[in-house]
Formats: sequence, C-alpha cells, structure tokens
Amino acid sequence: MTNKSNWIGCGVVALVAVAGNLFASAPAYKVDRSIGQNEFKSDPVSIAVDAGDQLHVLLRDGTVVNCDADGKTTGSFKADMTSAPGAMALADGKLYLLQTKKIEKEMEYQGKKIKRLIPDGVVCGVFDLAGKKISEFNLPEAQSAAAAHFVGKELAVGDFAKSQILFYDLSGSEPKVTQKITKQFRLCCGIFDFCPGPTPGSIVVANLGAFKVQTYTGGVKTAEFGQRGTGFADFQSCCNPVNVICLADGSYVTIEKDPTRVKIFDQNGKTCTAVQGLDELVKGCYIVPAAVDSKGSIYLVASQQKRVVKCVPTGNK
Amino acid sequence: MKPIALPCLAAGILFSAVVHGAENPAAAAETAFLPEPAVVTAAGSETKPLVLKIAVNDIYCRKTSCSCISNIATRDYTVFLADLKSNHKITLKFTYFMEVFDMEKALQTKKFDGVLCKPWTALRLADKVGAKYLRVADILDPNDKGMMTGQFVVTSSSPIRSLEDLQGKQIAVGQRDSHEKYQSPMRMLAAKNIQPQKALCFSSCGENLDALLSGKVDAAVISSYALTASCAVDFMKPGDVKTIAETEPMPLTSLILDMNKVSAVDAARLQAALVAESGGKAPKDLAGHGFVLPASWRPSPLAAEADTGIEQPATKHKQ
Repeated sequence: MTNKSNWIGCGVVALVAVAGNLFASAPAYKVDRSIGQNEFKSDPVSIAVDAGDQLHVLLRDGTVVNCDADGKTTGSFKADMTSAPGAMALADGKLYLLQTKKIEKEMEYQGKKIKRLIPDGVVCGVFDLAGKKISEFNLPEAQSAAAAHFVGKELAVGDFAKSQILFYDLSGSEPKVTQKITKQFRLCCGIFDFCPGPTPGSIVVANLGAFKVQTYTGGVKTAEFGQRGTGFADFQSCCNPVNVICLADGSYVTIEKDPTRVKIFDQNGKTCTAVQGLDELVKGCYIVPAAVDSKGSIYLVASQQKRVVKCVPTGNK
Repeated sequence: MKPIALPCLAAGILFSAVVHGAENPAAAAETAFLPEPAVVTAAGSETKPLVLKIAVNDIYCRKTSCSCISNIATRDYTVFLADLKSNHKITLKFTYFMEVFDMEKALQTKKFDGVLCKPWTALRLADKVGAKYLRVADILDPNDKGMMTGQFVVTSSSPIRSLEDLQGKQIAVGQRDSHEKYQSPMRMLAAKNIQPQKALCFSSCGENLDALLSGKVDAAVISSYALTASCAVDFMKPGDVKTIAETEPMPLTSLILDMNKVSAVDAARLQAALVAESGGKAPKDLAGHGFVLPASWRPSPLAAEADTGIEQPATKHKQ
C-alpha cells in the first residue's frame, strides 16, 4: 500500500469507527402499524402505562380509556370531576387526574380588550383503574397542570402558567410541596412535559423554548443537551422538543412536533437514531404525550388524529 | 449527558473574520430592485398573465409562524393574492414554510422564482443556489414598520449599560451566517475594538435569551422582534431586559425575485402591483398596510469561512 492509500485506508477505518460510534449506543425503533388505526371519540391528551403494561389514555372530554398493549380497548370511564382533567399520572394502581380551574379575565392585546380563561389552580382527582373515585384535593401553589408524572413516591406537576415543576408528597392528609423548580424553563405554545429521570428523584425536561433536554436532580440542573440547527441531532421548528421520555437503559427519546421527529439519544445525550416509518403526528404547535412500557415500547399520542402510535424496539443498536 | 460546562470561543478570531468581511470590495451591492424608467414604462403596458412561484417564510404570517404568537402573527395573503390576480393578472403561487431550514433546502431545488422572507435568509444563499436575488418590495409589520435591527440586550438588573461594558464579558450571538445577530453586531464590536471574552453562537433568539437568563452570558444579541413576535413572548417580557445597543436598521421582510428567472419588466410590473394593492387598499387580514418600495440596503457579504479561519461556532456549544 502506498502512503496515499494508507491514508485512504486510515480514513475509511476512521469513518467506519465514527459511524459505528455514532449509531452504536442508541437503540433502534420502528413503528408497529398493527395498532393505533382506530380513532378515539375525543382527542387524547395524556397517556400512562401501568405495571402490567396496560395503557390508560385520558381524552379531552374527561374519559379514560384502558387498552392492552395491542391497543385493544378493555374498558373506559368518565372521570367524575367538575370539568375535564388535562393531565394524568399513574402510581400503585391509581390514576391521578389533574384538572386546571379557570376564571374569565379581560385582557388587552394591541389595544383590543378580549376575554380569556386564565388558569386559577389545580384539582387532583384520584381514581382506581376501573374509574371509582377515591379522593379529590387541591394542589397548593399550582396554577395550572400541563403534565404530571410520579417521580419515586412524589407527584411532580408541570405548571405552565408559572413555568415551574412542583413535587408533592401525598402521604399525609394534605398534599405538601417538597420541591420546586422555577426560573429555568423557556416554555411556549402551552406545551410543557417531562419524565422521571435515570437516577432516583431526577426528572428530565423538554425545555422547548431553549431547544434543550435538561436533567434536574434535587431541583438542580445537572446535565443538558440539544440546540436548534440543521444537524440530525439538532432540534428544529420554532420550539422543540415538545416531550422527552427515558428508557430503561438510560437512553432519551426526544419528540419533536411539526415536522415530527422522534429520536433516541444515548445516555450521554449524544449519538442518536430516529424512529423509522413515523408519519406526521401533529400539525403546528401541539403536545405529543408519550409513555414507555416494560418492554421498551414507546407510545406516542397523536392528539389531532385521535390515536396512539406504538413504536417497538427492533433489537438493533 | 455530561455535566454542564461553558464552551470557549476566541473572540479575537471572530473579530478578524468580521473585519475581513467588511473589507470585501463587493460589500456595497444594492439589494433593492430599482428599475430604469424605460423598464417601468414597458411594465406599465404589459397585460399578459404573469405567474410566479414564491417560497414564503414570514414572521407575521399565520401559516408560517408559531401558534404562541397567533394574536400577533395574523397575516393572511388570501385576499391580497386574489386582488393581485383580478386587478393585475399576476398570480403568485405561495408555498409556505414554517421552518426556515426547510425553505432554504427548497430554494436549492431552484423551482422558485422568488421568496418572501427576511431578506438576508435568501440573499446569503444567492451564490449557493445560483440566483440573482433583488428585493422588489418590503412588507410592513402590523405596526407599519418595515425595518428591524439586532439588539444587544442584558437583564434588567445588569450593571452593563453600553457596548464598551462588554469588554472581556461573555455574550450570546447568532450563528455566523446571521446578519442581525452575528455579522452586524460583531462588526460593531470590532469597530470599537471591544473584545468579549467568550461568544456562544446559537441558531435562535430563544437560545440566546436562555443563555442570558441562565447566567451563561452577560449579554445576548437578539432580533428586534424577538420579544414581541417569536416564541420568546411566552417566557419573557420586553421589560425583563434592557437594550444597550442596536445594529443598523435592515429590512424586516421583503418579496425577493431571482432576476436570473424573472425579467426586469416582469419584476417592475410586480413591484408596481404590490404597491398599488397596498396602503389604503391593503386588505385588513394583511395585518398592516402591505407592501412598500424596497428600502436601500447594502449588507456586507458573508465572510467566507475559508477566509477567516472561523470554525462554525454553533456546533461548538456542547456540554
């Protein structure tokens, strides 16, 4: 081999090494088209998966639809609350449905006075999986509830109106705020979601206005990745990602709206793959609630299309 | 994910880049289409149908803006385009792009005769796509302003009061190919021999503002509309920051034609028609008084990366 061909050979080896590294650590996914073809009667706004991999889908009209992992409906109930809840969390066989109370207020835009409904507190209704109401209480310090997830034993609530995440200890007679994360989130379009993080007590937030995925542990930002740009690993559009979920192996699934891009980043937030064969989930700025089951299957809510899309691991990395 | 750490970029390198760009002899090229009287006369007698394909990415257009500014970005071209067709036999076939990156890719297919967008977005691509872009008209914003600037902002509680105070400080700017957020502000700093210690480069005003609010930088450069007509309206108010300096004004949004594909007579005809259907005749849903003749604007050309030794800074912001 000449010096030149040596260099070419080294280059090829380097390229292969780089490509291998680029796609080695993040698991690959594909769309399972056998489910998700049937429409719900109302658009789904939240989704949770229980310990038995049963899906629980909250619809905008307050109905909770229970499905098996193949998308077959196994039951449903209409939440007994004063108005429809907009967020849901699940723990220990109980569904926590969060309803944002609203009051009408007159506001001024460009010299015009218009009346708008403004968030004014959050009510949490607790139900068993069959729909029997167990309890209902107000969540102190919360003005709105865009998303909710259990982080360990605590209920974490994403409050868009105050741009904060509140953690509640529900073990006592009254819910008690144990932790608040504020002044960190650049939220827009009414979209705010997050997921339990890879370490106990941590959460991972889709900070869409900053084009970042950020991990908070004990209320402190401990890691972040992401930027707007044209690169494959970059985020696009006016604000993204709209949601993030963590997989069991520590990988991150980032979900971008219009154009829909669902990517899996490795534990370091670096190398990534994209879910193949995914159609547009939403048009414009819209939430994409998501959940993951024990087998690593990802469930994405296409709210405007009134359906849930399932993505399954291909087994490749 | 790795723990957070600030990247470092030698501001001095940036300075040599922008100064080099300013010295480029091609810097003074006029971007406004200014037809000769004979061309205007010929255009006035032209009556055959004219059809042009236009790519659109307009800050104030409902179809190309984020829903969080739906109260502000209310512009709809439907009635205006219908008037243009019925009164002037000019059909503009608009293709709307919410994502500017997608529009840039589409321009490279060369299937468009023109583009309606922030002019620098198209002008900086002219050589790459083999187009000869000229601005035939500017469109006014809802407050009837046709120009914008880049703004150096600091938090309202910051002790920084002027550009000079940025000496040795950290700033967030746009990517190298941004005019109001990189090229123009960096020239301002270079002209005053002000050298920030570090510069972080991002692709959006939201990221620049996040860097400012998070304390990663002492100042950020943003587009002048960022706090009123971008996603930042949902997490910041104009009173949260103070502006310490502004770049020179530049056109906000222009209808730009590729003069390699459109004749001067047709361009002049479109220019006259756009202006004729604007002002008092502008339909209400155009959100403002529509099109005006293009303001003179001679932006310095983008300094070539090979000339400057600059590495693309945005990709250097890793944790």
